[in-house]
Amino acid sequence: MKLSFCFYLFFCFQLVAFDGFSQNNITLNEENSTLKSIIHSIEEQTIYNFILNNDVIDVDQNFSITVLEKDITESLSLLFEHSTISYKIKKNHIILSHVKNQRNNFTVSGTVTDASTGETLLGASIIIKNTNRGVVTNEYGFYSITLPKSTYTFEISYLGYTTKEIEVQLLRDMNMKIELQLSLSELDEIILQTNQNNKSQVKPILGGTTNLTTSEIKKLPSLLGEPDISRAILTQPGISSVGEGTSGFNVRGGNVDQNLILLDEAPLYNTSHLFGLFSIFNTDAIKVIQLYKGGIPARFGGRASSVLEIRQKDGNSKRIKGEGGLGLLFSRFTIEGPIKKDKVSFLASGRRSYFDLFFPLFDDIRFKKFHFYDLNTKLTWNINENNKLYASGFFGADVIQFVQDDVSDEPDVTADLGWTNTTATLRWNHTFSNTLFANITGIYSKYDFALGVEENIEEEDVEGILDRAIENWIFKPDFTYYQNLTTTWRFGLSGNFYQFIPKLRGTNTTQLQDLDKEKALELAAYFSIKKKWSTLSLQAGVRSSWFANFGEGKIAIYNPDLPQTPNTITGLRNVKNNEISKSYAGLEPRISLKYDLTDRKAFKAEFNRMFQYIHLISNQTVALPNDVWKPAGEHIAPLEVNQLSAGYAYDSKNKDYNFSVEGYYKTFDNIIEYKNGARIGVLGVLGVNNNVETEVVPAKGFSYGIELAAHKNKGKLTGNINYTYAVSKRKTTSKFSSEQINNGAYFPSNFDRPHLFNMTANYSLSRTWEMGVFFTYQTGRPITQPNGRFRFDNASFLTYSDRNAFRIPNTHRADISFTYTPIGNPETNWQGSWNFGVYNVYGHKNAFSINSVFDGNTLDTGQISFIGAPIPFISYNFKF
Amino acid sequence: MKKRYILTLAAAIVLISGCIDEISPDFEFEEQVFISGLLTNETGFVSVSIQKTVAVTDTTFNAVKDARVSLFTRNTSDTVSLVSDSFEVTEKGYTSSEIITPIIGNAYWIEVTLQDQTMLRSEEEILNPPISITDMVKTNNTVRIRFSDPIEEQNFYITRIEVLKDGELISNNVDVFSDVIRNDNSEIFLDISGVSTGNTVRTRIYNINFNTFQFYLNVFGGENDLGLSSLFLPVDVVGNVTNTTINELALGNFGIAGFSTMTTNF
Repeated sequence: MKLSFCFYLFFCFQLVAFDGFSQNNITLNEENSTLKSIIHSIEEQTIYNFILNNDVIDVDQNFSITVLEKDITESLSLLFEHSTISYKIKKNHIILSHVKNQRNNFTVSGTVTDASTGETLLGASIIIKNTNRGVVTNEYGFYSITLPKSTYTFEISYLGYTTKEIEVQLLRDMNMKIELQLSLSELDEIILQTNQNNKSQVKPILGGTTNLTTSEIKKLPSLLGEPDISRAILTQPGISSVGEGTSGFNVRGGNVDQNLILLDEAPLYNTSHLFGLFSIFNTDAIKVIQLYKGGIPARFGGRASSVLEIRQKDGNSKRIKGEGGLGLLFSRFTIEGPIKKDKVSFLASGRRSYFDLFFPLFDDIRFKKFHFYDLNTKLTWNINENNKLYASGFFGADVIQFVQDDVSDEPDVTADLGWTNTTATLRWNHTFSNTLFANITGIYSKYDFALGVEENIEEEDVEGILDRAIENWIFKPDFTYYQNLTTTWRFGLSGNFYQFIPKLRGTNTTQLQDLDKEKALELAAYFSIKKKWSTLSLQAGVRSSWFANFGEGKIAIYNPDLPQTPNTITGLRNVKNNEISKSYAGLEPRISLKYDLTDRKAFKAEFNRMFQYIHLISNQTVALPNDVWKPAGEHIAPLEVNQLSAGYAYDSKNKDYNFSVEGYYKTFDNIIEYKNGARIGVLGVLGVNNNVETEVVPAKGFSYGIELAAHKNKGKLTGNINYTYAVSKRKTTSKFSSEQINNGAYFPSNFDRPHLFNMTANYSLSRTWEMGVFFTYQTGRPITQPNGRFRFDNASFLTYSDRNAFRIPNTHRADISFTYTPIGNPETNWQGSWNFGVYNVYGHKNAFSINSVFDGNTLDTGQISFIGAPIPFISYNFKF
Repeated sequence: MKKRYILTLAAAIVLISGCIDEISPDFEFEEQVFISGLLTNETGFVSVSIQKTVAVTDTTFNAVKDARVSLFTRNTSDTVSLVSDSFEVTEKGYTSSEIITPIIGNAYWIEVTLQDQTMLRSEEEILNPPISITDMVKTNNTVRIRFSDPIEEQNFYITRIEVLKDGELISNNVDVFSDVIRNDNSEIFLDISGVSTGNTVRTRIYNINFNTFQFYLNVFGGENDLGLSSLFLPVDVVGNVTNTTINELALGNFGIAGFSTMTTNF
């Protein structure tokens, strides 16, 4: 410090000594000379004296400069051009300082919203014009762009919205809210020329992702006129189901329980109404749907095959707006608007079916209640530009009552069956700085199934009630750091507390009440990086997850030399309350790479590992509402799925057409399969069997396939076709031959349907009429077929082939719809439309299964088809 | 009971949203051997039935009459001995030529050699003690049958309850169950409705082992309803018999059971 002070004084004296000398041009020819010597040379040639603090400025550092009779200012600029030294000329003084506070880069951040509703736009593209560089908004419409100080033109675009250009003078950090105008009526001829349906897979780094908007879903012909998200998902490549009208979907050879379905980040466990006929999602309340089946970001975990992320609308922050539909069997209504304009908004959306109103017309229907309803709500509080709060909830219920009081020789029976989904999500978006965005979420989710049966036996009422619930409490802080235009970091934590609650009570079943409630905790930490070089892009991350199953409970101890059966239990291990009975941990790497051949062609490759710590102990062919979720524990290990996929995406010129092809190979470890004849054990006590492991056998599997898709985005005719070739196989891995299925050989999974073809088309007939067509063709699912019969106990019985050795006939179906949208009255804002059509136009009876039973000694064989006839529909939709 | 209602409701949905078309079966036939038998603690002849399966459209009974049957036992001292290898072909299948007195606590199994030298062997099962039937009490048209269930012991049962009128069978109820979730209760009861004055109720209870229990579940647990059967995987009627020649499970079961019975006229 003393030395530096001496230098400081020395230069100050120099300053005084040379005052009055006038010379502005200098000549220097220095090569790796010290700054001290260069300063000396300048001072000798000019009137200027240097002032500097050598604690800050290292005068021994080397510089090179060659100038000939050059102005002092230009010379200094040249000298310090690539250094961290800045200069200032004041009178005859040249003051040197460190540029520690001088920034060349500034950040612009903010949100992109819909100008008319205030809804944030997820995935909106912000391109820096003429650079081909840019960013997209995150799930909350937030963006952050860091660039050198300059003036730029931003081009902001989003599907269905008019592209906007904004000139940005980036001289400081700034917050900029961008509003986009919705394109004019979709029936406007001009809009038909825009690229609002773009399904390009070239830009996203992650392969195997699908974005769906509710407007797309509403264009699809639907069962009974009710737009259905689950059915829309089934139109995508690589997605299949075991059959028409069944609950859930299978992604790339994964079971239905391997799909993480999130509604405003809350997990859902049964997404069907009426056993799978309709989904629980009301499209009027939904903003956007994103399906990940290839590259899955590290922030997602807990399920092994896919993530379906559904986000509700925030609620219109500009004006009160309503929307709804009236159908023959459903009605729905949504209202949204500002509580305080641009500050606080709300959304409430309800739906109810009423087919049961027509049941009294039919004598033989014993259902007294048969309906569902659901309610979506959301409150959004835009506190300030750095803070936003969202509170959202969902409640959906199915109510069924079956009454039998008119059958002689049988007791009067009343059976009440119902299931509910309840979610509540509280999210806080906080912008710590222009480059650090945080979302902190608290979630409650519950799925509840209940069955009550009341029988009148010999004038005595016998009552039994089963109630089973799975409950989640989740806390998730998530952070995104936008390092620069090409690098983004995302990291966070996730804590998920599960409770699995069975209850059973009744008049004659007091002894059955001692059912173990199971508790489990899943913790995870993750980080990921998204990086783009000129033609190569990377999204890589890792998720570290830990899962523990807690007491209290009793865990069966089995004889290790025998298969696990109720008969081979040698003892019980008592686990105290909150004591960990079994824990698992795993690292889940996620890597996605994209290589841009041109701006219209890209190669992609991904690797994902996913752990799933809860299993659905499902019915054997289809998922039903009473299926049991079982946490991994002492006897059932977590499922591990590894997926390798690669693809190619291509856009035609002007992106009128988008093409993609993607192949994948997946392995499944610790999957579970049913033992032969297991259903009795599982359902015999209604899934409250504390030793479910006695009914299942560990298995492994693999799946592979290729998915081809083509989209047409412009013109009067738009739509897409896709084809999937997929194989999904399983193999039991028990060490006991008696437990092996098909003697331990690979066999097709229940939903192995190799060929899958879908076509969706929308045609604009005029300004007011639009037609939609959907066609699907799929290989029939595997079945186990009788291969003989024998006599036992004076009755006939069947013997069966290897499991899933045969297939039902291939299935196909076409749907058609017409939408008439009269030109609305601009004064009232009322816009109505009529939607009508036919589901399963040619009434093809798609086999769900082929079964045989004995009636005495006579064999009856039947083919069961769901929705095996044309189903016409009509509905009136409106918005204002 | 409640399982039925869930399934009935599910089937109702199937009926509402779907349809069942009867079709002619066109299934590939694969011949297999089916073995069945149940040895109880009662002294008497032991029978084993052996048959070959037939095509699903064939209604004949294809008995195997050229096999060799042997019955073995393992006592509590772990000594194995041949009980009998002298079985005669009768109407019931193969019947031991001598009266056999099984011993409770011993394990028993059979070995069957087919003409092509294929060897089939049932798993060793222990002969459990019989379960005592406490009483049968009729109230109105319902008869409650009570029997004692050993506490702290996993038990598996088959009950066969026949209602007869003037010696003629008018109903036959077979139930296969375990005491897995009610093992802290020393008494189990079963109710049989539709019993009129003058009827006779004959109750038989078999205290069986798990594999035999699973076999009878496989036999009697199959759905007889076409709609409901679509919800489940078909069940192969396998039990404790293994084809030791190829080391694979074979069809059928040879069970060992403690047996008790009670008959009451109401």
